[in-house]
Order: sequence, then C-alpha cells, then structure tokens
Amino acid sequence: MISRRAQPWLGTLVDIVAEGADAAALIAASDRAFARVAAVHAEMSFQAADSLLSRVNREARHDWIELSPDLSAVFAAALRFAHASDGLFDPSVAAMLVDSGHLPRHAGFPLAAESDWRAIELDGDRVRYASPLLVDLSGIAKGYAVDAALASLREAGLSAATVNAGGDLARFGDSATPVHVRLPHLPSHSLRLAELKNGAAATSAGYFQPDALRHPRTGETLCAHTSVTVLAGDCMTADALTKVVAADPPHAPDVLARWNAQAIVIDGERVMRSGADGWHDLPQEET
Amino acid sequence: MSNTPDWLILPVACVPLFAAAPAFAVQYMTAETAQKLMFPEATAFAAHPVRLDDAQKRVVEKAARVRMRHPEQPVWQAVANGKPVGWFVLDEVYGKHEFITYAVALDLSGSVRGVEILDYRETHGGEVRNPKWRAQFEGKRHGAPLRLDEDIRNISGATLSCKHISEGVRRVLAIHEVALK
Repeated sequence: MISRRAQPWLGTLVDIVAEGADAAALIAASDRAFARVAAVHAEMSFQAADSLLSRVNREARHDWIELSPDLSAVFAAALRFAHASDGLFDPSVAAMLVDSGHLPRHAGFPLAAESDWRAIELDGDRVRYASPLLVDLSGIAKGYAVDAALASLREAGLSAATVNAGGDLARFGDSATPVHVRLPHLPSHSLRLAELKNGAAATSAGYFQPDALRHPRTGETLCAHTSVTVLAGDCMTADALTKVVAADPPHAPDVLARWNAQAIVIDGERVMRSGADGWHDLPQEET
Repeated sequence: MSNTPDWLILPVACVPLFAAAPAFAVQYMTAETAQKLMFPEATAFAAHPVRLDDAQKRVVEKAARVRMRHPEQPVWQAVANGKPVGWFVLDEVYGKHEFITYAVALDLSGSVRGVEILDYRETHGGEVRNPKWRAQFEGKRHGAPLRLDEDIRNISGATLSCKHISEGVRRVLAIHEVALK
C-alpha cells in the first residue's frame, strides 16, 4: 500500500511517499513526518520574523543565545561544511541577499551585516556572533528537514519512503527507484540520471529563481543556466554540497570525495559527472 | 575512502538522449479523502458554498492582497456528532506554469489546522530558450512511453515555489473573516 501526500512547507511543496501494509499507519507516519518538517520550518525560517533563527540574528551579536537541538545541529553542520569547503558553502552570505532584496530585513537586524562565517561562535547548544552577521541556513535546513522527516518514517517501521522538498529528496527502501533531474533550459523536461535505493539527491538550479544563488566571495549569480545535482548519503550533505559545486566546480571533487558524494552538472547540452580525478562528460545513449 | 558506501546510489553511465515528461502531474487525493484526513473526528460534511457579493469580494481582495477570480468558493462545514468542528475549504491556484488544487482546514476560530495538496500539475510552454537543445528531444520523445505517476516520481530540482498557495491561504482566511464567522 502506498500513501502519497504533499503540503506546502519550507517555501516549496514537500511530497511524502510512504509504503507499508496498513493504511492508517501510513497516514499517522506521514502526519508525524510533516510535523517534523513543520517544526524545522518554524525554527529555521529566515523569512519569518518570529523564528528562533531570526531571534538569533537579532540578538547573537550581543549575547550567547540558547539553541534548540535541531537548530544547534544545523549550525554545527553549517560550520563543518563552511570549514571543509573553505567558505564556498557560507551560511553568512544572507547579508548580500538582504541587501539585494531577495531576503527580508526584519526589525532589529543589523543594517550593515558582514559575510564572515568565521565570526559564528558555536559552543555546544549556544551561539554568539563576533561581528554583525545575518545567518541564513536555508542552504541546508531544507535537507535537514528532509532527513528528519525520513528518520521519523523509518522509525515508524515502513518498508519504504521518499521525502522530496522541492527537489531535495531522500529515500529508503529495498528497491532502487529512478531519480530525474530537470533540464535547466527546459525545466518541464527531465533526464533520468540516477537510481536511488537508500540515500539522497539535491539539486540547485536557477530556473525558477534566477539569481537566488550567489558566490560567497564575489556575489556573482550562480547556476543561471546550469543545474547541480549532488548524490549523497543524507539530504543535508547533498544540499550543502550543491552550493560548493556551484561556486567552484574545479575544486569540488575533493570536497565531494570527503563525504563520499557525487555530483552531476547539466550545462547547456553537456552533462558532466564528478569523479575522483575531476569531471567527465557523460556520453549520450540511445534508449 | 571506500567507494562503496552503505547507502546505494547509482548515477547513470550514459545520459538518455530523450528527456521525459513534457508535463509533471500528480494527483494526491480526492476532496473526500482530504476531508476525512483533515477532520478524522467528523461524522458529516455539510456543503456550505460561499458566494461573495461585490462588497465582500473587495474586502477579501484588500485584506488578502490578491485578486479573486471567482466570487464562489466551495466550502464544507465539518460536523462531529451534530456539532460543528471546523471548515473545509477547497481552492485552486494557478501561476504561469502550475495549477494546484488544495484544501485548507480551519478550526471554528478560523485558525489554519492544515493544508493538503490534492492535485499538482505543471504545464510549460514559452520558456524554451534553446531551440536546438529542445529539438533534439522533440523527435525522440515521440512514442516514448510516459508513465507520469510511476516513472516521474522522483524529480530532483526545484518544484515551483509555493508562493501562490501562501496567497491562496491568505485569501481563504479573509473569506472566513467576511463570510464564515
């Protein structure tokens, strides 16, 4: 038996497919999974002035702020990815997006925030900013929410489940299912580029929000005409690494290898896949 | 580091030459299923369609900051053992490329109890920027089997934003304010 539902969360549609023997159990399990997504959304929304993250952005410049277990996990992961990628993944890049009007400047936010992830001081479950910062965790919070929802579905003892939040998807199950990636030039069309059994895929692309993704150092718009898909063990990692690949493709394979992840880039008519020794064009096949 | 992680993902070795699915569509559930899902305690759903007069329509449009295409709104009152427990409002929104039918459950005070998608359809047309890239698929696609719900289940890559749903829910709340209180 399969239950498939979708609800609007995280600024996109979250689609949950749950497979198991009992219909009522599937509904109850997907209810709990959506509740996990809703909780992560409520805490980590940059857009909502009353989220815990917005409180941190208002107050952490002045004092240590206590975080929830979810939020401290995501702050810790953000710093880990920022460190490993030497700032190619940068949770403090929001200042730039606030200045350009892509993100709101809530009352109480610093007027001149910097982009400097090293100024985020995390001590267990509390955080402090060493300089005026605006942290946006949306680069990994969506992936984290997908992982949290999937974990709750796994705990429910289902045979298989998939959570897809606007293209950040993760699943578990006994059989592999195909993963499709949209064509950046023709997003109504998609290519079948992977088979997924247990793991995650995340795609960053500019086709629906042309200049939302920026290079943390230069501010340059990324992924205007390309898409980056990362396949990894969990969705938060896949989500974070798409930003690393988009910002610096030549150096990305090293970072990807560290997490046992792989990337597929669609650029115009080319499709490239990362390998241990760099990027390779995928040949086209007649099917 | 090992090349065989404990999770299993296999990127394809070759790119399929045709791109599948000229449209992406999912039917999640019927309105009736959504009613039972969102109000499990309800024993009946009484049709209570709302038709706004011009003055009410203007109030809703001003409060919700969106235009109303139709003055009618399909609404049901959820009833549990003779007592009203909330409202079930059916709505649809469409953007440039998407058409979404969804339901909003409101409790008696007018707070949102849940939002559930019933039907999601993308229709694309004018966005093609690279005719050559497109041309290579047009021919190949022809005759390719299209199994929307099975084959195109896992699309990685942004779905359209749910901005229109947020606007729609705002409009539903404004309708509750003027016509269901």
